[in-house]
Parts: sequence; C-alpha cells; structure tokens
Amino acid sequence: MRNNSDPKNDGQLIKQAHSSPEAFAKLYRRHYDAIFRYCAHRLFDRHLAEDVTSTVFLTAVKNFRRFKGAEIQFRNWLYRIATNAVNLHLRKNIRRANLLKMAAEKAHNSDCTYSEHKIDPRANPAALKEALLTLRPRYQAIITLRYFENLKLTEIAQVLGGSNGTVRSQLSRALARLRKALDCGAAVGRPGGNTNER
Amino acid sequence: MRLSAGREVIQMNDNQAYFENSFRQIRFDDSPDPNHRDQLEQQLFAAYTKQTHKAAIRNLVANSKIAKLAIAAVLVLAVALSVIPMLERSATPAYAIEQTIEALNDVMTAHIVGKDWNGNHIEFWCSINPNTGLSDHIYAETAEFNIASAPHGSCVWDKQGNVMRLTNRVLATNAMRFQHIFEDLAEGLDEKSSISISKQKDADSEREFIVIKALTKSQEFEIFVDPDTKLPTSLHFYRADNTEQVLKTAEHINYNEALPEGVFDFEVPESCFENHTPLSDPNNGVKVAGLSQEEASMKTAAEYWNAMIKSDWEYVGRLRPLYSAEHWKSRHSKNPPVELVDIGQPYVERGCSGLLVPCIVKFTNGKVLQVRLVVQYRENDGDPFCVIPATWGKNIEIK
Repeated sequence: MRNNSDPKNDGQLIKQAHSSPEAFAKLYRRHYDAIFRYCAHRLFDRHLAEDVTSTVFLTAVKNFRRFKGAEIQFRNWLYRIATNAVNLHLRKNIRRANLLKMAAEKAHNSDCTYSEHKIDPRANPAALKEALLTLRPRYQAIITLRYFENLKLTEIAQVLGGSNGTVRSQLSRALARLRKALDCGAAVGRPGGNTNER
Repeated sequence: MRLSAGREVIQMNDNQAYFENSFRQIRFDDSPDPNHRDQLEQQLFAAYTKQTHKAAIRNLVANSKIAKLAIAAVLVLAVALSVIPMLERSATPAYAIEQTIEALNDVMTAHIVGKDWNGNHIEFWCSINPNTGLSDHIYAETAEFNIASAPHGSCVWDKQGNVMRLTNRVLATNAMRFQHIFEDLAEGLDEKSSISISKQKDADSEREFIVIKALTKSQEFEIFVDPDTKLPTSLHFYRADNTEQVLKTAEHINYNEALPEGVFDFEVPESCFENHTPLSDPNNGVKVAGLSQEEASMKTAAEYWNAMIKSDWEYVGRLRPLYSAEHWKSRHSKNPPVELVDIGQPYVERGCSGLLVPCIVKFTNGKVLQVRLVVQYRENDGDPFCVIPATWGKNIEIK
C-alpha cells in the first residue's frame, strides 16, 4: 500500500549514475523498497520476491546505458522490468500450476457454482491472495500497481504500455474476474495463474 | 457501445468498492530485509563495474582508430569470404575484433607459454578478477625472473643476482592487464598505423585461424584468433624497425584451466638477498628537478654511460639499483663501454614501465651497439628523480 520511492530528484542522480557507481547505488537504495514490495505483493512470497528483485536491479544495471529518461520514468522503468520479471517467473510455473489444478479438480470432482462457494474477501484475505494469483499476469500487475503501489492509471499505462483507457478497461475486467474467482472459490493453481485467464 | 461502457463503469465502481478494503486487509510481511538489500548492492556494484568496463570497451572500439581500421579490415575479409562457396562461408562467419574483446571478458584464468626476446622460455599463469578485468594473481617464470604477485604483496626473484624484491601490493605491470590487451594495443595506434585481418591455415594442425596483424610506430604484432571461441591462441610481437627482432611471443594460450595448486605461492630461496623498495628509494637514481621527463630521461642515460666509462660502479649501482655495484662491475669489467656515441629521443612503447631511451654506445671490443634503457621518472615529496630498472629488447649492432 506504500510507495516510498521519491522520483523527484532522480534526474540529476540518473545523469551522474551513468558514470558513477556511487550515484547508481543511491538510486538503487531509493527504489529498492518499492520494487521489493511490488514483487512481494505480486508473488506473496518474500524469498521469491527477493530473487526477482535481484533480477530486476541486475537487469537495470545491464541495460542502464540505454536508459535515457529521467525522474519518474526511471521508477516506471524499474516497475516495467519488475513486471516482466514477475510475469516470467509466473509463466515458468504455469505448467506446474496446471498439474496441481488438474490434481485438485480430480480430487474434488466438482465444478464451481457461484452460489455455493461465495467467499467474502474481507473475511478471508488468504483466499483473496490465492484468487489474485489465478489471474493472468497482466491483470495481477494492474491490480497490484493500482491498489498496493497506489499508482495512478496514467502511471500504470506508462509502466505496462498502452493507453489510460486500455488500462482502465483492463482493471475493470481484472476486478470482475477476481470477483468471479472468489465467488467460485477457485484459488487453485498458485502461484502460476490460471491458463483459462490467458 | 455507450450502454456497455456505462455498465462497465458501474460494475467497476462496484468492484472497486468491493475490493478496496479487502486489499487493505491482506496481511503480508512486505518489509524489506536490510541484509538482502546490502548483499544485492554489492552484487550490483560488481555488475556495474563490469558493465562500465564493457561499455568502455565498446566506446573504445567504436571511437578509436582501431575501429575504423578494423572495420575496413573486416570489410576486406567479408569481400574475400563472398567468393568462397556458401558452405565454407557459413563455417567461417564474419569476424570483428569486438568479438574477441567480449570473449576475453569471460576469461577467468590464462596460462601462457612463450619466449622472450632472447628465445628463452616464458611461462605465465594469471587469474582474473571479474569485477576489474585485471589479473589479481600472477605467476611468471622466465630465464631471468620468477614473479609471484597477489593483492597483498608481490615478490620478484632475480635469478642472476639472487636478489628477491618484495612489495606489499600487486605488481602494476602490463602483464596484469591480459584482458585489456586490445585496449592497450589500440593505445599504440596512430594515423600511420595499419591493421589487417585475414584467414590463415596452420601448417601443422591444418586448422584455420583468424590472423590480426598491426603495424604501429614501434611494434608489429600478430594475433592468432580461434574462429570458434574468438579468443587469441597465440601472440607475436616484433620490433617495427626492420630488424625483425622478436620482442615476445606467446605461442600457446589456454583459458580457464584449473590452476595448479600453490601456483601463486612463492618461497624465498635460501641465501637470497632481500631488497624491498630499491626503485622508489630516493637515495637511488639521479635528481632531475626542473627538467621535463624527456630531458630527465636523457640526462639519466648520459650519466649512466659516463659512470660506466669511468668505472664508477658505485654510481652505476645507484642508477640501476636492482643490482649492487659489485654485480655491475663483474658484469661489465671485461668489455666496458668506451664512448657514448649518441642518445636518441625518448619514447613510449607498449608494455614498458618507463620511457625508452635509445643509446648508441661503443664498447672496448670495438662493437657499436644500440642499447635501449628503460628510465623511470619518480617523485619523492615533490623532489623528482630517475632510475633505470632495465634495458629493453636485444641490443642491435650498428655497422
């Protein structure tokens, strides 16, 4: 729910960071917490979040030479790298998730019906977490950036690419599917996401 | 469409209200771990250094004369390849020097076997620090010296004088810059330099190599590159003054071999004389206040030869303090110099740890030789002085 990185002064620092490792370290320290939290909120696993955060910043170092933006663009750039890294991680786990899902379906041998399995997310945050993880990665990213990182729709559009309208529409669909997933009690397939959503 | 959009907005507002509080209620420990943050910072620092190094290489290659010359050379190679049948062309893809520079970046150890300018065997091991691209440990064995060097200290055993020189730091020689060989070679290029890249078949192994040849003001070098790994397999350096004198060859280079156990350890031989900092001792050398480095180097060379001619071995020992006065006396008393004929303009040559001063000297046996002295310019509390650590290359007889 927080976003501690302050992109206001990044412009000068970014210029310096192209030639000074100390300046890059300052940038890193300024944005580490926000990126870690974003990864943690996407994955709901501290250790995975640390691994992905490491990947994010190492990728940033590798490609920093090509980064020509300033200030807020740097933060959004990091979020974009983080989104790609988390999505990649989730995709890698889809196969395992699908097997788990099939096993679970066989065990319960039942289809969900909305009326029978409704869950109140306010009463069951764990179910909400699991339901979030069943959404397709882009929807997860939009929800996390909006509700956990408190980014505006315009900022989310910059991070993920696309227009404000597209992001608004995708957020709407993401929430609808999340509600449907909760109503269905379908928190299977963690942490890979549900292939039906892809 | 409007109706549908309106419905979507209503539904979204409804869902937002439904979820906003729920998201806030998710309890999850999202506080970053300072240990992970610090560890990652160290990794990033190393990655940043390596990346900057790579970028510097790219800039160097892109901006330097070597790039323009190499691009021309690659074009020539590409044209040559285009007349070769398709099958063969695909087996030997176009080559650019940058590929070798990149390949060298991944080298962790190098084992080099070669010869010095007297044809004596040289063997050299180094391990390379991936963060700096510099060798942090080396072991070198030549006919004259055994050298072991590590970040905490270095020792050079001079076999001839049985003198061990010790320092408390890593040796700052060009041997430590194996990964940077192309950058250093590029430094020596000027507008009169030429470079060519061609393919050549090794007569013994029948293997084909990419051969980079360059001619600079003072050196000519040939580098044989493995077309598969893009790494140099042998290096040959010659003097570029029609003497065809070999400066150094690295006939076999092996990469990322397991280091022999204890290769960087070194024991001080018994009865060896330990000498700690002879070159930086301000009591040695000649004072050169007020002179430019070139003038100072020429003055030092002149004083050195005049001291030899006068058999002033004490002074010779101070000017060349790596050996004692007695050593110089026994080494030169049979055929001492009798006349300093000329001192040429000092110049810089790749791999040499000082200015090179070419001196033409007549010896007692009537022979006139060109001897190149290495002169180092040093300062002690702002007081400059020069010392002579060595001569450079084989002496050339002037007829």
